[in-house]
Amino acid sequence: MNDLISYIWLIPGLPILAALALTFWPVDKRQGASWLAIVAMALSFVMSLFAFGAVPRSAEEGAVTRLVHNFNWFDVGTTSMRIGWILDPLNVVMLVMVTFVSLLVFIYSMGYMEKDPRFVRFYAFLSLFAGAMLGLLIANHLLILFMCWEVVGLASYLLIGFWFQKPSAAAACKKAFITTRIGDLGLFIGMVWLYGEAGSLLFYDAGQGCLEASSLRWIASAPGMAGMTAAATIGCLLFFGAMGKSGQFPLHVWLPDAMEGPTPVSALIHAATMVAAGVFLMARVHPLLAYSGTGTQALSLITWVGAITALIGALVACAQNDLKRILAFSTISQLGYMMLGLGTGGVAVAMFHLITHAFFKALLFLGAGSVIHGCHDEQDIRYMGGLRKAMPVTFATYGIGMLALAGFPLVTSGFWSKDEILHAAAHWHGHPAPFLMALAGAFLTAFYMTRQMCHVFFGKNRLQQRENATGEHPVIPHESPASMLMPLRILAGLAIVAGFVGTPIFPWFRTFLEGGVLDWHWTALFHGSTFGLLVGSSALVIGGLVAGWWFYSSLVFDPLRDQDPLDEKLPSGWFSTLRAKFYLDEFYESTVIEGARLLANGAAWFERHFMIPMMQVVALGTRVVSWISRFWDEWVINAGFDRGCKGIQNQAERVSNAHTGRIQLYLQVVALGFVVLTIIWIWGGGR
Amino acid sequence: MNQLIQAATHGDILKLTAPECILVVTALVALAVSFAFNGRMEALRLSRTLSWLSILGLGLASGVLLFNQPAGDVLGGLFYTNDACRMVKLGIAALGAASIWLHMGNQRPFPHQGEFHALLLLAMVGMFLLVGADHLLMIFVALELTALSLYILTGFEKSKPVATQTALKYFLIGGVSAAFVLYGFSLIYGMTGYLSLSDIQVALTGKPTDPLLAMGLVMSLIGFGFKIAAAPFHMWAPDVYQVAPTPVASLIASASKVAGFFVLGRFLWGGFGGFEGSIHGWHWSAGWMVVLGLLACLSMIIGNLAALKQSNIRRLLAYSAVAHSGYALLGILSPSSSGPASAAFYMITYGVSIIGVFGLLHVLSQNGQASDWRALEGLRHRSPWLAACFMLLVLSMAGIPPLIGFLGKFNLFISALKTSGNPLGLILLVALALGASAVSLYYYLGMLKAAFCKDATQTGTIEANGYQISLIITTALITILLGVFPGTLLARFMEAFAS
Repeated sequence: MNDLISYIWLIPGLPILAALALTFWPVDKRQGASWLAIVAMALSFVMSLFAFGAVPRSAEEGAVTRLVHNFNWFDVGTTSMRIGWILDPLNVVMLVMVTFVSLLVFIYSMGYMEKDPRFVRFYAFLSLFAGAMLGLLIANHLLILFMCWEVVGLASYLLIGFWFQKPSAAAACKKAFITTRIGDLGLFIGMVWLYGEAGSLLFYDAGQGCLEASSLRWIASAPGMAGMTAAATIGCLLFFGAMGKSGQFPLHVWLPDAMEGPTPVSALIHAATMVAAGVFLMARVHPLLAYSGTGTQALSLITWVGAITALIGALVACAQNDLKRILAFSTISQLGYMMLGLGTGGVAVAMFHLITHAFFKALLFLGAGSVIHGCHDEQDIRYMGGLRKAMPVTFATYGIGMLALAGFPLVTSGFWSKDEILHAAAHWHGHPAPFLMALAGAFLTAFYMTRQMCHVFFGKNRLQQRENATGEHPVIPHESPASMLMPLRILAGLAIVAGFVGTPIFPWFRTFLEGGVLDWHWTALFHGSTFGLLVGSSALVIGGLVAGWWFYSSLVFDPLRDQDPLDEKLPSGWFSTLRAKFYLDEFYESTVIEGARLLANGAAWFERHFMIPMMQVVALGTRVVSWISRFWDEWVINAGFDRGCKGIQNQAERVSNAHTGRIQLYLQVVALGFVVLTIIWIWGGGR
Repeated sequence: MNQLIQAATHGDILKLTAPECILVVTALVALAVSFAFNGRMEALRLSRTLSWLSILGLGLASGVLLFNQPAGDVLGGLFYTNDACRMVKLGIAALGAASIWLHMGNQRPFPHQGEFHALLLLAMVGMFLLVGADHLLMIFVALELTALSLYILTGFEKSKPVATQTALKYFLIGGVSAAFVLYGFSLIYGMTGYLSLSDIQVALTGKPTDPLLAMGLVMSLIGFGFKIAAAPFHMWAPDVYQVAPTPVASLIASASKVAGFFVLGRFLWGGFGGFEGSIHGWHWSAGWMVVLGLLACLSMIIGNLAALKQSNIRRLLAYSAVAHSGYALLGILSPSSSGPASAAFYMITYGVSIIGVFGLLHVLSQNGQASDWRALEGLRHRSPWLAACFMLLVLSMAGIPPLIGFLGKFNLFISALKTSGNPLGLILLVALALGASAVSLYYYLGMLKAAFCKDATQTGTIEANGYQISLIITTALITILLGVFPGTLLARFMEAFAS
């Protein structure tokens, strides 16, 4: 199967080609456009499955076999730029997940975007995103990864601002782009630094790559910033990029606003795949972060940032009223968990949660989309309610997703993956605080999801009240079309099943990613701390569910009538702080943005009073010179040329007149020619 | 002579002259067909049949050239062939076929189609023989065969008095120059005692230039100058281009010149390689290079200057053809093998462009317009596609990259400049050629200006049939495709001439 690796570029290639084709697609051929994108995606999915089958397993713990295909891209002087593809367990699970979720979202969008006038463009952007995301996954070169990283950022920008006629969407896409770009600056510096230290950005290159032992040994011994080694510094810088992309505190502010985009986009890009790219990047460079004894500072940073993000996301989610924003904060919180898992437990822990989260969060978002679609674009959960009767399928699948997110014990995937993270955090050598924060987050997750469920699906429908208030004709919520429900059903199934590949009893996922012999550990569940943690976290989750039901059950609470119970119970000011997301946006507004504004004003002043006068002086000089050269041109060169042309014209007249058409003259010329030429030859020559 | 014939078996001769034989047979068959079907078949259909027959004959000859041709000579150089000959013959066959194709676009053929085709083919035979001749007698015979056929063809539309007049002019000048050639050849034979060029070369090695020999050479050069329309022996060209039937004019302008150039190079370098003299600026020494250099110089100047003032496009093309001959003479002047190769390549590619332009002029004249400037006016509106092709063809002739005309000229100049010792005369000639090309832009762009910027004096779209359209588009495509991808063909040429 070695040649398979050289064709792996087809996996991102097909969606990219589809995106290209769709760019030139006629706008009224909507069906064809969606099918083209879906078929390309389906082929990518099938190829990913093949790739999955082709990845070699390793029975030895910690030794992962990778298929690598490097080739020369171009030469500059004596330096040749080599890039390549890679196929290893880490990216192959991502490939399967991304292609699969993308495929489902593509299908779902057929129904969701049905009436949108820019349908074809939507699919072009989605395909572009999918292609770039897959390219990011298979890249064996940090620069290529970075390029794809930027393209997914671009696709995200385009799709958040897809309804650009809404001012909020236009602002949101700008915010997302700029915020992530701040993180990318760190990533870029880290990349350049890494190139400077390792001399190569190829990850794996037969012992020469930057993630292989010889380079790592060198990087780990080189000095970095603030007393850290270069390895730790580069790790922190790269993590900075991941913070932007994966919505880690304090760069998470763009992600809730990104919900202005169409819901399938939120499901695919801002829940399942792109935001996980940061986690994937950290997993990809994990050898650098974890190189024995040196990179721990970077991992500590990741752990702390992850824990804080997990807790803050969960806290803020408790006080939001927008259906998608709650999910957005939940995503932020879950990404925090992944980072926490990566910092404490390593690649397998984080990746496991990444995969399960992708399934159930995509499910939740698509379910939310179905709800919004059914409620005619209503997003405020206070005006929903009672939808379990109107939308039974959505309700059932959404419920499964919610339980998985909350981590309902034993039967949901979220339980197993989150438990692994908690387990890793509990055994972390650093500090107990991240573990406690993670526990609090787990409780809150169950709580806010229950709150949301109560608002949306239970009680009686309040949509009428909203419509009456705004004076529009009342609408009845309805169930969504089959093309939207099919992905929900599939994802709901996966939200349950996906967890069983990584239980302590059957740790297939870990062995697949990190090598080792797969075996059944029937007793692992009841092993000391594992069991305690299982029971503890289950208790927390169930406590959260119960607390949520207690506060928000429709029996006791009506959102339009009552004040939010949290607002009542908490000391005054706390709830509004949560609702305002810790005033972080306002904080940035008054510091970063205000500062940038000051700087811009200063630059403008400088421009007006210094640069422009200088330019005018230069312009004046140029005009003088050009005036002189014009004079020269007109009176010397042109006049000379004109005289020359005139001369040629006169000669032409003469030559032309010589051809009189009289044969006698012609023959005379021939004879004369003979005589002259002969004379020149015979008597001529300056010998 | 008897001995010579015995030296080669008839099989050898037949093998060497198979293409020529095929053409002769085709000419005879064309005559027979026309006799058999004249009056019994509609004139247009008969004409097209004959044309297809002729093209078939040319195709067969080309096939033989491509797949079955030994190298060597028989009868002391009477018939001679090598890779270069073959390439040039293929080019001539293609240009001839294109001319016949041009004739097929003629909706109202003039009478005596059988004779017309037979003569065309015989002219082609003459050119083939000319290309494959290494012998003074054969050169003369081939020259005359070509020329006599072309005289008749020029005046073929007997009903027009001006045709007869022009044919007579052409014949008179041609006859005089043939007399010069024959006299020159006799002088050379008298001086050396040999007729075969290679024998002459051997016999003359190490001998000083005899004035009588010089006179003989100049006399011969007059004949060749007539053939390739180099000034001052070009006087016939404008009239012939203007009056001759379009296929004939395009044959004279393309294939006939290619053959003339090829044999000129063979004649001078193969027979009189020691007598070129030199053109090192002021320290020149007498020789045929000086004569040829003067001819090139005059051709470039007179051709371009006279073209500036022409109101008839065909006459303009005739003068510009004189100028092109001047450029191509630079190739003959450079002693390396790449020179004649460049000249032949240039003339063949020039032939392609000029046949395309003649095709367009034919279309225009069929649409009831004389071929003066006004015929071109508004071409862009009346037929955008033809106008686009016209632009490509004309720009190629003017030598604008990336078209083939540029590449051909570039090769010529490079081969002239690469001559060892960098003779100042050659460099000056190249400089003159560059200046002359700049002047030529005036009238070439003038044609385009008429076609693209002027409003039409006549309205209505231009009617053209499939033969004409395909010819014009094909030639235009060739100019651009060969210009962009010249690689293999040019390399073949260089290789063939180097061997």
